[in-house]
Amino acid sequence: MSIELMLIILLPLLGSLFVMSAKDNLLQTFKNAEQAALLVILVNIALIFYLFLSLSPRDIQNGFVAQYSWHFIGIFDFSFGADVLSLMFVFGCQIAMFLGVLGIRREQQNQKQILVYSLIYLSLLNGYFFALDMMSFYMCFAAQLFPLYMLIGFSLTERQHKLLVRLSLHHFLGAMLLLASCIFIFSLKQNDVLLVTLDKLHLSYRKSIFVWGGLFLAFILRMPVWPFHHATTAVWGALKNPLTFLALHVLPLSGIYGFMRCWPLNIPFEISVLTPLFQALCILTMVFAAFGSYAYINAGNKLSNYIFVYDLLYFLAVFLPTDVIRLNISYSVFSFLLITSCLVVLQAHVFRESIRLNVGIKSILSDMPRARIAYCLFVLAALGLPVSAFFWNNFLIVSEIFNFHLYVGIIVVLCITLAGVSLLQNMYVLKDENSSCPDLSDVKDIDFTTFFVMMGVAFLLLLSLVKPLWFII
Amino acid sequence: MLHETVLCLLVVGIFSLFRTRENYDFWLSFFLTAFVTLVFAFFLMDWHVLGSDAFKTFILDRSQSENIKLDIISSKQNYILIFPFFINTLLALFNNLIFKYEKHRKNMLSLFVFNLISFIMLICANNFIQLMTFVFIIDIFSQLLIFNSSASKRYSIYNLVADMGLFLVLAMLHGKLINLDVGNISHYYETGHHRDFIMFVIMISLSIKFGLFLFQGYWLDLKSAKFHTLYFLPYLSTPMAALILFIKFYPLLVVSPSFSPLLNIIVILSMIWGSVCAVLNPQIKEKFVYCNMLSIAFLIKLVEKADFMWNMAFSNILICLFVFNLCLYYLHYEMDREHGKNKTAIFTVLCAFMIDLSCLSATLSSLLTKQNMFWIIFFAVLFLFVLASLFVFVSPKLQDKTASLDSSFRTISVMGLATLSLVYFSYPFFAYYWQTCFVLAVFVLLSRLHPMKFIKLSDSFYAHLQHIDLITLLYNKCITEPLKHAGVLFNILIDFIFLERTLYPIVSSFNGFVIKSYRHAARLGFLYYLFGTLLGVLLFICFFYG
Repeated sequence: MSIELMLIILLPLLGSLFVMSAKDNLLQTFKNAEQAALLVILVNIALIFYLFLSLSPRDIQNGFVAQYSWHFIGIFDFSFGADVLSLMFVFGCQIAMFLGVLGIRREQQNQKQILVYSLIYLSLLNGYFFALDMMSFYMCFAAQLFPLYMLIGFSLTERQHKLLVRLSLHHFLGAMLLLASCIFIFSLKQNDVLLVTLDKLHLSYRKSIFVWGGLFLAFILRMPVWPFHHATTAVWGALKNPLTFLALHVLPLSGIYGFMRCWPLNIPFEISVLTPLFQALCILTMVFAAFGSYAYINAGNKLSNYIFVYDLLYFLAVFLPTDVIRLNISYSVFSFLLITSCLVVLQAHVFRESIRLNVGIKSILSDMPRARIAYCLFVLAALGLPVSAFFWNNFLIVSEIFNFHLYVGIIVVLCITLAGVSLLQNMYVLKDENSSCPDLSDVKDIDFTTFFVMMGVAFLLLLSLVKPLWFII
Repeated sequence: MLHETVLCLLVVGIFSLFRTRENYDFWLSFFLTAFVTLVFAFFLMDWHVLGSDAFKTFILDRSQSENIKLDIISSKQNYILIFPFFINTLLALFNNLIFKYEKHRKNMLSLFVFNLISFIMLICANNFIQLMTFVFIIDIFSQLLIFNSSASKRYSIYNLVADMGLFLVLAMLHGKLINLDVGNISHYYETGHHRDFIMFVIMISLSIKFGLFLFQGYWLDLKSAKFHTLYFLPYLSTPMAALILFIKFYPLLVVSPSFSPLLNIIVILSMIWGSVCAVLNPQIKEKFVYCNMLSIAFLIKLVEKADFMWNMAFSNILICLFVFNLCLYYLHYEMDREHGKNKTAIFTVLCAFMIDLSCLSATLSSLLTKQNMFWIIFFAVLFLFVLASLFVFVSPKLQDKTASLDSSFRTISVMGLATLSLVYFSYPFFAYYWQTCFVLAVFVLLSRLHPMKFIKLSDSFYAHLQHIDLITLLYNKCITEPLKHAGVLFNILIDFIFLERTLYPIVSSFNGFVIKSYRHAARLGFLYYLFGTLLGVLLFICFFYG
């Protein structure tokens, strides 16, 4: 079993080497590089399917279907393992990156470099989701920032690099805090610690504050929670490249995954007294994001605020003192990744065409039949088309929030509604047939391959009701 | 049984989705409509031979929290509730077949059939998931049917808000009950609270879906949609889904002491506003919308007075109202598009209109007498007055363009009455003969006396009202603009002033100060290391020893 796991982690890295060795400045080069990247991700998807097939009903709750340990410099054992939780995140990321690669076909600049770094990023992301021990978890946590900054750096203009500096400072601080916690735990245990045993650590008052506080801040710095949100959202707003946008979109979800893996069910008392404060901050940010999405006219900002609201919903959910909905969160995140990836790619295409033709985005979808169908379908799914795992898992998550706090639940539903309404308004702006607009006869629709993949994703969503992959697990 | 009916309809729906040559469109639609009629015949047979309730449950998914089920319960109550929707869908299918300007008959047929399946599944729903899923699906079918982005924009936004209200309530219920069963909602008050809040959210959500007073705006947008889809929407889409939810959620509504006053306020305001606008409005499509608002509000009150127990009288009312819409539409179509050339068609429509109206008045009079609702009788008269005004609105055109019809109007009335008498003899349901005759006489009198003459005087006032557009103004000033301003204000206050102009500059200045200090200290070499080490030791001591 272990070989599949290693292949899933290392194949994108090998793919990046292949892409890197390709010649520059040739159209054919990008085609080869793109096909290599797509092939690598497709093989990964097939391997993940294989791992899903080998899951038994017992494994779904709490079992690792595959494990791999690598003895490294005496004291460290790098352990990797896959369970439903990690497989869902990894699978979602593969599909998001696959769509992202398809989305940059018509980009003009740095295609090869972006592909190289996105494959390295994907490899480290897979490693992060599969990590079982503290050290490998930290290494992947910190190392994935390097290719991410390179990706963002390629996509931003010179004047926008200040935003990247601000973002990297946040993430660097988070990585340092996690490193401090890791070293502290390591010095206590004199050995590497598995993530599943973290909640069994017996720490004194001050030590627990140090360890759990460090872990908490490390993960929260990846989340767009007030007052750290501005660094992430400012970069989101500036990014036009869909692959880079998706790479950055996965980052808060990796923070949520970190909480799901490391955060103990019974939060230490020292931290738990502060929980209402964090919840209040989270709610404040959510309200802010929801209002922001409603107030903005820019379609890109509306989508990023929508994503922002859902990130915070998952963040609130992982903080609930229950593990009943842990799988529901991962199922919902998987569907969320699929839906938002398609929307990001479609929106990037729309913006690109509007810039190319020098027209506004209003009614632009009316001359793109394929993009219009896909966009309407995914906006409906994003709003809550109930025939998908996204909606029903969110229902279970929200009902659990209601169970713990009524007012928090009400605000969450209001924010989700407001974000959904703004997305719907945006859809009508893009596909309004009646508005007077310039000649759009030269506008290019999304290519058939992208449309076909999107319809496949829509079919996958349609098949799901609560478990997204019910037909294999 | 019902699951077989659903299966047959599903086969028809899927078959009609296949692409065929345009030449075959009519004949395929014809055969499929015939097949649906056959399914309806079997539905009626099943209904009459049904003994005890039959349950058919399909487990869709085994989830950690609870299994996801699809229930199809064949009970008498469900049959009675499905009956009017089946009849109305059949009428819509026949209309689809005979309407000569419809180009995509088969597509419309598939939409109607899938919509009917969704209604059957909604009526049979015994768990939250099935309930919400089919409410959403009905919304989506409605939007597909409107097929006009400017008309469907507000429709989808309003319905999304209503659906999220229902989502909120169901999530609250599930959080407390840890159960997805609809039957358990009556136990909510043993564990949960906030009965007024839940009732209020449900009532607001349902009022939006019904399109009652204050929420009728999105229905008015439908005037840009095609009329031949407009007749379908009030009685076979979201308002009827809301009606089914109204019946299913009654245990949550009646426990709140505020329910009855709130419902009365909403219903009375909707009736008054609906009747005033239906009479005053010069546009047929808007008249149509207001008239339906009035009739739906009236129906809701009747259902509430009958303790939320659906019976055949309500089914008859639904069918009559649908036929009434259809007749009005045809009358409008014959006069406006065909310029009144086809007198036989007009005559037939008028006859159907009269019969329909007499059936409606008979059913209403029987219901009202049973329930002893005197104030509702007032609204029943008002309702008929509006119907009459609608009729009067169309009849001047009739008189102008087809002079012969003016003289034959009396004949039509007589024929209508004669048909009504036949219906009375053949159908024992209409036991309240005198009340019906009285209501019908009032209608005929109102139609003949043309009491709407004063409307012309109020044309300028109405035009002024239209120009101001009070409801839109209210929405813009009270909801949309404050929300937008709040969003912008949040953006400016928090993002720009607080973060960009205050917090970040402070942090940046502090950072600059620290860097400068360290640079100065670093120049002194030894002192810098000594200071750094001492600071680290101090922090360490503070951390471990308080």
